Amino acid sequence: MTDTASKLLRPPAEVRYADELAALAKNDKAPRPPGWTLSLDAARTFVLGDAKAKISRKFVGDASLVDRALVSLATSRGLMLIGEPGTAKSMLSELLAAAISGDSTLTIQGGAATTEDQIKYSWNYAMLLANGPTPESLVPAPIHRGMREGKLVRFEEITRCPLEVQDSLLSLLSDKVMAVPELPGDDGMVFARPGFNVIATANTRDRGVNEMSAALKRRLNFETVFPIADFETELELVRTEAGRLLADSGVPVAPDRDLLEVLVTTFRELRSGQTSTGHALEPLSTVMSTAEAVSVAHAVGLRAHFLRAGKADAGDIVATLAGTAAKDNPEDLARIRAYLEQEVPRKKGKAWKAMHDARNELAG
Amino acid sequence: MTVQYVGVRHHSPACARVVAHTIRERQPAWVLIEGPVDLNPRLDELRLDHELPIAIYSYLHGEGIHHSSWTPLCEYSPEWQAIRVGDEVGAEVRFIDLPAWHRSFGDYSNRYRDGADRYAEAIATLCVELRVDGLDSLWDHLFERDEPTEVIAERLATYFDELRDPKHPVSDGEAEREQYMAQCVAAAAADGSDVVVVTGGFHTTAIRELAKTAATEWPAVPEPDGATRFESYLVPFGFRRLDAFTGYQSGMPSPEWYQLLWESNPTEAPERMLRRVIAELREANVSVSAADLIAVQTMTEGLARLRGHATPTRSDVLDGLASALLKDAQHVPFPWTRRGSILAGTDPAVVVMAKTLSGSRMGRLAPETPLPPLVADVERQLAEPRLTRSFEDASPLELRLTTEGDLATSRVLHRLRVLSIPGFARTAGTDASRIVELDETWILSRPDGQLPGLIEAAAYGATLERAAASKVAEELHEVGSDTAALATVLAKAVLVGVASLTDEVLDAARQAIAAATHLGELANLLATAVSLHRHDTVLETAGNETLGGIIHAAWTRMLWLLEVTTGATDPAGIVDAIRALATAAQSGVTPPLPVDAATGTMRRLVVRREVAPELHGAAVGWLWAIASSGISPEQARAETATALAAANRPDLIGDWLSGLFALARDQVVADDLASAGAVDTADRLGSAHAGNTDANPSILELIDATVAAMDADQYLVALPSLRMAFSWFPPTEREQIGERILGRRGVKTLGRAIPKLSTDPIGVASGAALDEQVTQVLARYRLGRPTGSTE
Repeated sequence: MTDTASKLLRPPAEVRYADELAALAKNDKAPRPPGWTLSLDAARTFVLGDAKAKISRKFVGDASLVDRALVSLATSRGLMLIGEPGTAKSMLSELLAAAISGDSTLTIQGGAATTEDQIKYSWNYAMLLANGPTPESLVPAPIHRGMREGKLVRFEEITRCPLEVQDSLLSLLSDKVMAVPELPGDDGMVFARPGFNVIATANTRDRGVNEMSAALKRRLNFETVFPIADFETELELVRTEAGRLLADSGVPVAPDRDLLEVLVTTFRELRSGQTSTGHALEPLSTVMSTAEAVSVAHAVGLRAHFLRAGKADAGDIVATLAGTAAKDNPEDLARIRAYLEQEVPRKKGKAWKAMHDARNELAG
Repeated sequence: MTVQYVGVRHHSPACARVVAHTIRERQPAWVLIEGPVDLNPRLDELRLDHELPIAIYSYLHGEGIHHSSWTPLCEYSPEWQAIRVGDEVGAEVRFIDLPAWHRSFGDYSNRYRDGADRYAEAIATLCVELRVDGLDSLWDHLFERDEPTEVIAERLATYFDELRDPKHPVSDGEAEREQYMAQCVAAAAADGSDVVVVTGGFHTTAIRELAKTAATEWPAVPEPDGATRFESYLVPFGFRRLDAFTGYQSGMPSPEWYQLLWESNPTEAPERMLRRVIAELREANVSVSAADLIAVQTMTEGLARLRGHATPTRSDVLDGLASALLKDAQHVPFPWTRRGSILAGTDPAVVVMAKTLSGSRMGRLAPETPLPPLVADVERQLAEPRLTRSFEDASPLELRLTTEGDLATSRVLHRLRVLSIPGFARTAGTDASRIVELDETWILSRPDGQLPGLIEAAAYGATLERAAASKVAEELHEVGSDTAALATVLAKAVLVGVASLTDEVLDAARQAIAAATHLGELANLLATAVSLHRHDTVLETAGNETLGGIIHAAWTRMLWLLEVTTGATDPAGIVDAIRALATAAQSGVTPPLPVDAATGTMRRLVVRREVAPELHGAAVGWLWAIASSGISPEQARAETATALAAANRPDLIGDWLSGLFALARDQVVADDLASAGAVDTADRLGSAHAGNTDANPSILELIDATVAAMDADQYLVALPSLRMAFSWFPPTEREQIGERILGRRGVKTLGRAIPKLSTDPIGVASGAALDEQVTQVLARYRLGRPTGSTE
């Protein structure tokens, strides 16, 4: 990592993993699709890791999902990553963009206020008034740049955009050309260079995903990203990520593994509505994603270190759950309380017992 | 001596090719196969002209044990090819594994399962290393690919050597099997002849080691102990069933895909499969455009290339289809990325894809294959012309159970139904809840599963009657304390007309009843048994002693439960239970039920303070309705009147009456009629006969008086439950009661003419509430008139 990168709060993937990308590019003998900085196989290695080549594993979901995503991006169709919030969709799209284009910053953040200007291009009005519409007075937005430079464009939370804004992608995706009617002559048409494609993400909790037009759906390959299926993998991820965040926040001690096990189990059981012993629970309406688990683990560590100057314990988890997991939903709070009262005492182990004893610390 | 071991994965075409190749190349004297050793004398049956898939079905049946298992064989099974090619090169072919009944198989019902649980860790590591999801994709990636057989054979050997972790002990059962197989190998190789051994790859290393030191004579074929019956038969098998083994029973998925890989050249198989899936999807109304087709092709090819496959594998094809065609978020992971059955919530298009690769091919046995005697017995019983016709044109078969011949036919069909043989569907007729239906309608057909079903049912007995009887007996054993299930089995036992079951039924019933704690379910059972015992001359159960025994047992248990219940949780269910007891008490069961004991229970219920009002009412009703020693009807009526006075609270009275009416509806009506009749007669004759009416009002009159005395609020509180209570009377009776009540107040009108409100009831109610409020305000300030008069 370079000096500038270490000063950033969160450098983009291509900066954070610059060394790995360089090493992969150097040894990459396989054919590359036009406009790609890596071959499909190297890109896959970048995302899924390879212990022998010292490439870290960055995405712990299904390998086949990554395969399908890469092949989709190599075809003429765009890629749509969809799933529950906190399933690492945005991270995956960032990694893919970094691997394929060496640049993950061509990003459009979708929202109710997103306009076509923010997707295609807008104008520098001072220059527009002074010189009229010229290529110099045009301010390119991510799609414009992506097409001209042959790079991947990330469109986050696409379904939160109004339908008509989404649909402005239609001709871009099928004809790979964008008209700039204000400019005369050849400048009036931007033809995409090889390497241009779109990775959209959307989460299933936001209404609107069904309102995407069939025409746009047809131009995208859909991939659903699921919560991590394997307990050990999720635990390991929570442990490393929470450890990293805590270190960044100046907390030297990471929470115990036993404690994290309790935390991750709680999250998994409340997420699926099924306990490891086969009991059925009422699943929470709030999202119990791995990302949330990491943030609870982070909060637990902070609380213990800065408020009590001690080690994190089950009481901290209980105290943090209400705010981070239940948000302000009183029904979810009741469900968490029921879980603490009924399920937790059935589990064996000291950490579980401590959690049961601390059940009264649940706020609200 | 040279012994060549070929470790295989069952149902893998790649392994089948390696097996065939090895046997052809080495021309061994012996081909030894992992398969049931007791079937060796009957190997010729397997050599008949069957259409695959078929399975060797084995069962062990005895007192309290019923275990069955399958050894499925497809054309592309390595074991099948071993037999075929072994014969072709003139080798001596033998099965060398323990028989299916042997304890070493535990609960497994699929001999050729993967048992991936035994090496899950090794697989998980390999999957991460090779970046694939799970065993099935890993297997395809390594073996089911277009490469020379020698290369695959070598890779197979390495794979299975790595898989078996010598530090990980196998179960005792596995160890026993491996020891047995090893001795067979040692025996075959003893005279120095060439041997090829085809077993599950997991066992290969162990058998190779054990064979070095094993005894060199053929081990004896184990025999099951005398009391149990054990047999094996060939059955037609189907791809659907092969793919339906789940969890630790499962083997290779998607049989149709591997069949295609076996039949056709590997470059063609993906293309052909894609075409089939697209056709199926279009059949299921999933729109697949030409552009989609191109996308599917590109994706599949792209995935294969990325994953380093010369031709697309199963997961390349499925991933390609899913990626290009699905346009929505998935609720659950794709079935091919995990093991087990298809999860609820799987996208219908994904289900079509998975099912097409699974296929529906059904095997067929060669006509001369020996079949169990049950099959012949059933054929004989179904040879009746009417049945044959019904099979042919699928017309509904109507049976009337009062006809002698029809009853016999019905029993035959019911026996087949009890044995779960497909093709005998009954669309109308009796079941546990409606036991005295006399007409039945059946639809007969001959689906693919019928013959396998019959062969498998042969485990239960050699004749249809015997088989059905032991099936019912088995179900009885499984009932446990579930009285609802017991009622169902009881009805089944009656319908199949099994006379010999009596003691067994009674025993099982007694056990279930003794453990039952749910009054409602016991009441169901009692009602079923009583109605069978009382009415059923057709099914020949009237007066049946076994049923009598069950009725007595249930009766006693219910009384006991009534003694301790308060009826707080399910008062209506408990009232139903008391009604069922009353029906039983009046049904003339032989030997007679101890009704006085029940009356004692009811007396105690009446005086218990904590019981729910419904229950209290029902107990009072019982005392009035059920004639018993030591109390006259008049006395009972008088007691009812007293109890009514005690229950006179707006929040209780309705519930209390529900209980009373549930038991003593007839008495209440008769009592009121008598009272009204007395008035009428008095009116007409002008005599003094009616002098006692006021002194001794009927129960309904008492209720009327109670209701009339309520103020508006109290009436509103009591109304809903009062309505409920009176719903025990049928509409005509309700109408007549209304007429009589009005008559007593001097209104002569037909009940149905009682005017209904023409205005909105909510408006009226709020108006009345306002009036009430005004009155109260006025009263507080001592103004105005005391009631709601507005003049």
